[in-house]
Amino acid sequence: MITFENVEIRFGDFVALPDYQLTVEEGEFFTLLGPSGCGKSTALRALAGFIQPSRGDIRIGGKRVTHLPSHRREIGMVFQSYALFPTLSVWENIAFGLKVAKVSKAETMERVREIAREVNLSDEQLAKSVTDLSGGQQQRVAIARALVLRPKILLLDEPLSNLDAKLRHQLRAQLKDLQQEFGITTVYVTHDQDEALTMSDRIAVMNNGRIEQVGTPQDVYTRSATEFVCNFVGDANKLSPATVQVVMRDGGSHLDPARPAYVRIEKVRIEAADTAASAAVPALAGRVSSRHYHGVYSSYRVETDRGMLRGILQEDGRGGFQPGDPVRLLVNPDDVLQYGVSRYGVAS
Amino acid sequence: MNGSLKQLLRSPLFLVVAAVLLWFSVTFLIYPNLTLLGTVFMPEGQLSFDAIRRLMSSQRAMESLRNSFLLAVILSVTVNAVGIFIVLATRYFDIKGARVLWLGYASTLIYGGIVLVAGYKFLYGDSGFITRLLLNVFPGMSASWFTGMFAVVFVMTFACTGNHLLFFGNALAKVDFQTIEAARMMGASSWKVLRSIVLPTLMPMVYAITILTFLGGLSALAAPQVLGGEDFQTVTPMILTFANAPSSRDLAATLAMILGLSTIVLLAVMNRLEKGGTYFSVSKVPVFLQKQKIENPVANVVVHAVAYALFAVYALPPVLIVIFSFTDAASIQSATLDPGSFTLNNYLRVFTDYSALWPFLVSIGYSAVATTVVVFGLLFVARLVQKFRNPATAAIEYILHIPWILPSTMVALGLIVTFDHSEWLVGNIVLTGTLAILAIAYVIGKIPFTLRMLKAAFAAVPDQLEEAAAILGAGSFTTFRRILLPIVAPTAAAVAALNFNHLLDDYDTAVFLAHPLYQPLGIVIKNATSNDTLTDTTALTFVYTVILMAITGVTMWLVYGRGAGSGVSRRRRPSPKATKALLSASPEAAREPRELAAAGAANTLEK
Repeated sequence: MITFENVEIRFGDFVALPDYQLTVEEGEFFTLLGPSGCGKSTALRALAGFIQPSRGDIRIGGKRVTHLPSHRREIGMVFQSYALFPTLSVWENIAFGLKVAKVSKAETMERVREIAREVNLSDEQLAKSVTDLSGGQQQRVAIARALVLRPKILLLDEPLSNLDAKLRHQLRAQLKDLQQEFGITTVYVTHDQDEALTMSDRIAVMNNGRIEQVGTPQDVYTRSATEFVCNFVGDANKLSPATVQVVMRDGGSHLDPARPAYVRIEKVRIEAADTAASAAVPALAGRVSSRHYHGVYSSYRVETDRGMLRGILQEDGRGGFQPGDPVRLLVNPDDVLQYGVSRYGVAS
Repeated sequence: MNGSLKQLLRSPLFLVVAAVLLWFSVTFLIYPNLTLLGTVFMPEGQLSFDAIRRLMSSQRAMESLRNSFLLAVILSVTVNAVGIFIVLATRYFDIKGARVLWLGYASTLIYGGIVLVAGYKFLYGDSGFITRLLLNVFPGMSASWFTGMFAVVFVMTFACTGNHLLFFGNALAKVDFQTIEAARMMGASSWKVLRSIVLPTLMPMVYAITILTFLGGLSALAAPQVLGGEDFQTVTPMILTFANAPSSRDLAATLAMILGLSTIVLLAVMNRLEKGGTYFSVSKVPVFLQKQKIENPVANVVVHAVAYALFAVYALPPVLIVIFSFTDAASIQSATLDPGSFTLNNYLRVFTDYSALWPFLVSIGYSAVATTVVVFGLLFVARLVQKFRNPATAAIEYILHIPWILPSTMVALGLIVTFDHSEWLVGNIVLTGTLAILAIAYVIGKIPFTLRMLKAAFAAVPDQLEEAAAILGAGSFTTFRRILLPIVAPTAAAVAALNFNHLLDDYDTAVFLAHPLYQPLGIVIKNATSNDTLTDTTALTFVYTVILMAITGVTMWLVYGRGAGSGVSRRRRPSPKATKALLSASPEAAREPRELAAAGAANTLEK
């Protein structure tokens, strides 16, 4: 188990993490998610031992490691750039930590081979220079190098950000499989909500050095605790007070038009205007102002007299709606997420 | 990974480096300059302006100062005119035979300093090849036409365009071609594009090169000394003259200080210009420059003619020196080429006669020692100042740049006046007149360049590599030795090669500090230029020159030639052979092969 206890990290006068508290359970895949500059990498680097907290403690397995050097924390790390040693071969990169730890040559051989097999690196690839490998192969070397020392914790600092979209999708699954196979506690840093949602057991959404919400991917997405989380994770419509009032009329009495309200775009049902109306769900009349085709689905912008709303429709090959088409939007009051009064004031 | 002073004090390796560095800086960079100041302003232990008064009343000294500034101003114009022209002719305009032209222009990159001056004197001097040709056409002209300010300006103009070829050419190559295409689309002519789009982008580089040229003119030694004659003496030869007599060393020191002060002021101006006007391409996808055709046919012919005329001026001296190095002394003296006079004797003599080989060995020895010391030492220092950024290391870095802001003359003079008596800082020994003092001066002179290059090399290593090594358990020395050094080694090797090259034919420092029995090549070549009657020595200097050009050419090719900057950025590749040998043993194999493989692994890991 990893715990951050009231950790404060400063860079001169700038406080990157003001009072950081977090617990990561043993064996879980935990993601720190947030925009650039939110402090997620700072937290990871503090856990790795590269940054010293000015206050508070970091514990691993109950043991205080706040002032322990990196290599004594039993941590493996995969860096954003992979940080492979360019002058060493793949083999030498993986064996580097074992050599430093003065592990016997025979055992080094065995462990390097074993981990290479686990991450699907062939003998031929082991003999190559790391600069001769593709991005995906380099990433596997970085993982092997981190895991060969059998650390208790694996830290992953945006390891997929340097890869193209397709490879990124493939490697997500591989990373998760590896983590489950080794059963290793993993802390993953990313700004990509898709990555966080698909790979994590739990997510901490961070903003301005603070944790906004910790929860399972489902919790974070469907029950976003704060307006920031709602905006940052997934795609949501901000409802105007006039729209909220419409939604309130049919079963939404618990809603308050003075408070910021959101609805996820996939929760907005789009129907043709001439479809028989459902009495149960509040509806808004509008016209399609734009349509964006995404292959599996299309996203729509619909102008209503209460403001603009966005929604998506699965592509069924029948052409969907076109700009100018009259449509009806249905918003279930139970799908509306409401928060305290926005720092920007009540939305218009 | 930036470290504080506290962290520095906790590292034994860097503590030792810091201590040695402190001693070296105080002893050889600060103290000699303070001594020089004392020589000028406190000769008897009391404040005195006598040296300045004596200098002001010396007509020769004042004239040399005037000449130096005049030379610097003229060179700023002529070097830019020729330098910009040759770069545009070979890199910007579509000129026939541009690659050959570039090779001719680039001859000054492998052939400079005293060697170049001697070469031009051989060609254009009293009994020179060109002079004899001219005398055939104009019998009435003076054989000594190539002397004085004209000769100095002529030679230095062609000698100093190397900066244009390297830096201006590089900057030109980075001009975003899309800006030229955009201007063309708006109807701009070739001339308009060049004047309004291309050249303004390059102005910061032109300013920087102008200042470097100005400084070069101000502190010129070899060209004025060899070609200036009595009528055109400049400051540095004057300093040399004054420095040779102990009674006038204060005047030498005063002149050196004026030179140093001018250098500092001009470098400050250059820094300011650099800060204020570096233009970057704002294009997200810059397009490489494509050569421009000169549309006006007359202009096209004129540019071609000038380009080839300049090619002849650049290429003739080295080409003729190579040819004449294979002839006997009589041919060299008469500047005639007779098939019967060709011989390999000059080369045989250099490589078989110990006395002929001696200056070469001295130069190689000095260059090798100074290069090794400066590169090896600064590997640690560069790492120290790059890793530990605090006021102490910042101060050390500034001090290490002293040789860059002071002319070599002043550094040499500082060493002479400081160590001509026993000094406790160097163990109470007298250094002036010993073999060591020139090596020390060479080391000092190469510190700024080496430090800047090595620091940049260390800075280019991502912090994450160190962090990765740290998390894998490597200490700071292991990380330095196994991760950082192999990465910066190619840069260190390239810097060492360039330093070695540059020191091999040094004259400016050697003429002040060389031991009489250990005269390096630069001095021997210079002495050959002052012989009124050409002797075998001249033939030998031609051989020296050819060998120097060959060494420099090979070095430049190794550092810059094999693909853009490959010498600097090439990384040591791991040995696939050793690793493959290691991998050949499968885990299922018997114990013996496994142990063999383990031994292979050990070898691989040791690398």
